[in-house]
Amino acid sequence: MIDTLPRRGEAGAGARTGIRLAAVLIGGLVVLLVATVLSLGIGSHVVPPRTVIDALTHFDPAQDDHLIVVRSRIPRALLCLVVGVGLAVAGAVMQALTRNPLAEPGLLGLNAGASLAVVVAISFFGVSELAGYLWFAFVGAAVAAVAVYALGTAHRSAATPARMALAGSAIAMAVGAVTTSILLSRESAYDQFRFWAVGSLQGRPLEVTGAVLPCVALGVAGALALIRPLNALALGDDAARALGASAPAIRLGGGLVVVLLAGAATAAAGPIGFVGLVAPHLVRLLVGSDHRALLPGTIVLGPAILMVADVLGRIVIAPAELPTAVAAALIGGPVFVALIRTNRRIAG
Amino acid sequence: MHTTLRALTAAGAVALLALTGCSSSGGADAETGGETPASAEGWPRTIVHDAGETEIPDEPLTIVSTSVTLTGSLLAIDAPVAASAATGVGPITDDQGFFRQWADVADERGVEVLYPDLTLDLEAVELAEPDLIVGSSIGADATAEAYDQLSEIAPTIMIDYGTHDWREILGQLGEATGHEAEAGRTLDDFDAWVAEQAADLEPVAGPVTALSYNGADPSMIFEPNSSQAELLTALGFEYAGAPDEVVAEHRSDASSVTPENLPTALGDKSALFMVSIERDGVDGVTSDPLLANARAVADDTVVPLGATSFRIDPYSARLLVEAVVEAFGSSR
Repeated sequence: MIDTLPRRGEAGAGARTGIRLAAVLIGGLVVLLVATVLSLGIGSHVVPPRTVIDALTHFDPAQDDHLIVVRSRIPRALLCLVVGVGLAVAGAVMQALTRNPLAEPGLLGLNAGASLAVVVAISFFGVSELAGYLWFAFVGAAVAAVAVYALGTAHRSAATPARMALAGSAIAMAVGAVTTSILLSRESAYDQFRFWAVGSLQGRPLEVTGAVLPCVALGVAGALALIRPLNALALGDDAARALGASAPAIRLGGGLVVVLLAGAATAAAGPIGFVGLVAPHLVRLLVGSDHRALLPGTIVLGPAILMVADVLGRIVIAPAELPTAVAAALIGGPVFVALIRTNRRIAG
Repeated sequence: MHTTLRALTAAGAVALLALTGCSSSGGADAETGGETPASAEGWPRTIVHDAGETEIPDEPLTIVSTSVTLTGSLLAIDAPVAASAATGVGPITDDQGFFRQWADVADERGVEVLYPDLTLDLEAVELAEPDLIVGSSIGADATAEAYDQLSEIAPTIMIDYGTHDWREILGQLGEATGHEAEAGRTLDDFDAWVAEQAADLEPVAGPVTALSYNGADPSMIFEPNSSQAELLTALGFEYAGAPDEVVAEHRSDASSVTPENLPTALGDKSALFMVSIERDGVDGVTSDPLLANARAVADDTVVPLGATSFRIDPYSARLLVEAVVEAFGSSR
């Protein structure tokens, strides 16, 4: 089978990668654990630590603070885990498929497709609840991804990174224009849509997490199954072909994985950027580009980054809150710039 | 066809003015309780407004409104509105984008759609040949950025309906249009009617609050200085806004409160009045797991005020009061 791990001096390199991966996994899990505990204790409403423990051990529905911990913060943390994994792994797979380091769920028109579907759900089907948007958003993301792939491979062209990025931009712009035109003519739809479009984990009931969890689990399993093909594709289409892998088949499989992961995450929380971009880059910087290390690291670091962003979003402007997507962008932006500068130093 | 309609509208406006002109010039003192605006003595008059000062040479006969929010107030004082901007068609509008609470009146008086979807069309404004343009400086229907261009077409005034309540706006529009008497009479009639309704009400004991519930996003709780709160107070309710310690952001007449702080802000209120553009909000509040212990939820006193209650004008104020009477009137 295809194996792209280093052949020369691989014992030493493999051991170093293994140690780094272990450090990333342990460090990531510690950050994730601490951030998750903080997410149960911190919010726009102050709940004393003892009350948080009481709520977890002796839940009393007559107490408002217990309701906040159990009915709001626990579902929010669980959704954060699921969405963080979905976005981060989707980003890693997309970067591999397109060989574009800036690839993230927005690039293939997924966010645009999901947004149009939500607007259509509100405007033409009278859907007003989040659980109702969910499947529309999911289908919208999938249709957009298929459209981007079809456009990128039109006239039997190969799905090169540049073609896919251009097709993604074109579809996203066209779909965005339709979305805007519907919103402009329906002010009431805009009021509902903006609540979803801002990208937030707040107020999503457990049912939402339960609905998208199977998709994310299936997507992660698919991504892990694609580790070796993705490694082969990283060498280029010709090299992949020489290694016995079919680039179109890998892209098709990878595309399905991305739709499952990013579609589910976006449907549940609205468009959240940067996590899908930053998490794979950070892991790649620490453990290298081998997907055997990259994907497990991304699975841990993605939700850790999103959880930290979500917690910070509740602290910085308390008693108001930053929407999760805004907090993720505020944190992800500087982190991404720092990563680029670090990479430059390494390159230079 | 349009020219004919405009001519008819203008003729109607002149006739209306002839009917109301005497009271607007001669009866102002009596109708407004002696508070005659300094510039109400004649024309031209200079109106101080949100974008500066504007001299209006003669009593306007053809008014266009670029603010769909302010059109209701213009209609309520019988101002000769020829055309109004329209918003997107939705639950709070008729099928041409006029607010439901005054759409029938606009239809009766032949008010045309100036332009749809709040997309400012200067050419349409010019074609309407107005002698006064009324616009707003805030909100989705704001046209303050085009104030200079609008002023080249006709005298233009801009009103900030966020910081002035509907009563003040009525007075300001009355002064600008020469319909001070109608403005005063509209307010007097309304106050008398509210007093009648209040006498028939059985308000709940304890503080009440009006809010725009936004589910997972911060909700807006109306401050005691808001038009909604003043109407509820006039009906005999004890009104309380959000406690300062839970307010995420203060705005001119409402404060935002995050979902986690809503139980503290609403928990002890004996009734909650739902002000909502889109939905009546009652289901959202009663099914919100964080508000399960709120008194109004337990007492079943979460009351929808209707989709028109978000922006208050003389028409929506009446609808708001009727909604409260339906919930708490003795004959309910």
